[in-house]
Amino acid sequence: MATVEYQRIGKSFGAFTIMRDVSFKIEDHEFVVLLGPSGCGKTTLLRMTAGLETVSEGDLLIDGKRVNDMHPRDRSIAMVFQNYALYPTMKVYDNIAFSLEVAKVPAAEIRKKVEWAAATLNLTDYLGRYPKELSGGQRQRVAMGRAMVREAAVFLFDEPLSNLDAKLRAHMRTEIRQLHNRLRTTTIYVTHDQIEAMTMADKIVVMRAGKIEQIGSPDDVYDRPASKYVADFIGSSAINFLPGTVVVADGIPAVDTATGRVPLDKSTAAKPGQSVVIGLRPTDIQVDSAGPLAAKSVLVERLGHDAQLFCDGPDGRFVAVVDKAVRLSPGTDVRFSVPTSKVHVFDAATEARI
Amino acid sequence: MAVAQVKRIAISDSPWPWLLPLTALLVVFTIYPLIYNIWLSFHEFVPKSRGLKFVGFSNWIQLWNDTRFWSALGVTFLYFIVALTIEIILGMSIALLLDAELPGFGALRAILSMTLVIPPAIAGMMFLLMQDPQFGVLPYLLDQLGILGKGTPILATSSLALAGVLVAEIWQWTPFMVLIFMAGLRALPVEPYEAASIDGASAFQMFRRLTLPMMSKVIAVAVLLRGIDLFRVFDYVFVMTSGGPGTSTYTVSLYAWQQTFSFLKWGYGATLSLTSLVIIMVMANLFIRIAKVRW
Repeated sequence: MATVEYQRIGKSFGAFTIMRDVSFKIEDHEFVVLLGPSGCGKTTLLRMTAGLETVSEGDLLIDGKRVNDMHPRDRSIAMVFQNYALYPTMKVYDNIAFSLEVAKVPAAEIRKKVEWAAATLNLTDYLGRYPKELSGGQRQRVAMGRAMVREAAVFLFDEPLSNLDAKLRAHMRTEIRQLHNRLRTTTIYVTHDQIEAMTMADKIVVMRAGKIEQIGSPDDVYDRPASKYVADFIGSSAINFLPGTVVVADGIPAVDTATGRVPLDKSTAAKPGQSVVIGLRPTDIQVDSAGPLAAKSVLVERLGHDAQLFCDGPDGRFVAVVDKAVRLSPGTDVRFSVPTSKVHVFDAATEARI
Repeated sequence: MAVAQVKRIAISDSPWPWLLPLTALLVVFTIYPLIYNIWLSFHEFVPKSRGLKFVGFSNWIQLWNDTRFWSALGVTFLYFIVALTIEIILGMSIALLLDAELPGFGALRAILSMTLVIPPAIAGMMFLLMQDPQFGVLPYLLDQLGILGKGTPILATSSLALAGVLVAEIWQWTPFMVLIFMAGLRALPVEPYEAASIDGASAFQMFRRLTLPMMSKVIAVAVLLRGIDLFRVFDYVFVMTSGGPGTSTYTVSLYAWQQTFSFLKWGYGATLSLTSLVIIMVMANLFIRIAKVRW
């Protein structure tokens, strides 16, 4: 068990700098998800933690010890790769046992550990098979078993579920989180899938272009996104953005947008005259005939439990999650309202939360 | 009319129109010579009548009792095993070395393949000159190193002649192994090595547990290609020693050639060639069966 600390970490490939000044700390037992689109540096950060990439700048600490120049094998880490990186010429048993074999652990002890891992992961019947004789989900579990037997202080996952189909992905998501609840090993998990981040993480680190955009619990990141970028990235139906200007009308602060005047919470830090962008989550928007926002309905998409209403307004496409009983023919005028506490306000220039 | 005919062939279910060209080539160049060879091994050429005479199994009986044949087979096997072993080990070592991307290695890889464009007979001549007891560079170097006495005629010394021939063989064909192995190394996935380095494997453990097993198919192909060639060795011994001194470098191919073309014993030559063919086929099949892997 261990903490991991990044102190002003930077990474360059030749003259090309892809990461600068990344600092944060991962506590013992924590499950941290590095979230961001491809190319944001999350995998590079993970590979630096593993020792597969050199650290160009700053200090990387595992359990308080600087490990920048330490060989991967000495860092007490275990890693699950995106494509599993199983040893193709070894059977499942040897794949899981390999790290113990090279460490010259007694054979009886190896057997015990491999059988424990196999039982935990439902792999007992497959120990005699080669990786190519397994399905994607089974291979993924072998990769996890390989990490489990190492008794590493930190588990590193590099998009381990991205090669699985949707159903299996949802299943493995809960499996991995359950395993973490049982083993309590400090875990760093890289993904571009915000659902994985929301469902699994104790703490989410949202990354963008080699920098940290926000660090927080899933609820923090969802309810109080630190920037327009984070608001856009998190949430399974994409957030609506409306540009506008802050005004004060009848002593109440509001934002004037082309779609309508949206009242803000009284405690808002937004100043009158400021150019802003407001973010409204589709789930927070209600159809309300007295509401301030107006648009024309285009399409209702029924999702079973509820429905998505697509509208066109002066600010473009606008989505609201509505009751599935709602029936609207295309071209109907619809009005909406949003509770003031659910209006996210971002500075138009810096895109930072106000 | 012609169009209609083409159409009829194209829609016919019979595979023969498509197989015919290849079958014809096979029959003319492989099957007929093989059958003729078998037929020939039961006959012998009679110079007086300039014709062939049926001799039954006498060629095969002669072969069984022919000490020169057994000695040639022994020499061939020795040559085969020594050359193959050294070429694999040396080839793999050089391939692993050249696989590292260091400045100048690209040029080195290109130079390496140059030995392969030299005809083996010419390479044999080169090494014949290099081993000349009076002015050859090899005896000189070995003398300087204190390994051999001054002016030792390597190719004329029974205990050294085969080694002298093997030097040419290994010089010319190790690069072939290097090229095959290097292509194999280049095709290996990088992820298992990353996983292994996290798992704590040393460089040697990675080579033994990852590289070697993952390369086994490539090594098998190289062994098969080179092995078959090695068993038929002719050029080097023909040019460098003519099988001598005594029978110390006398191989089966050389013996078969000599029986056929010097002594005009066509039937016996055919018998020797067929025996070689059978041995190669049996060895190759056994090898393929052993080398088969499940992963």
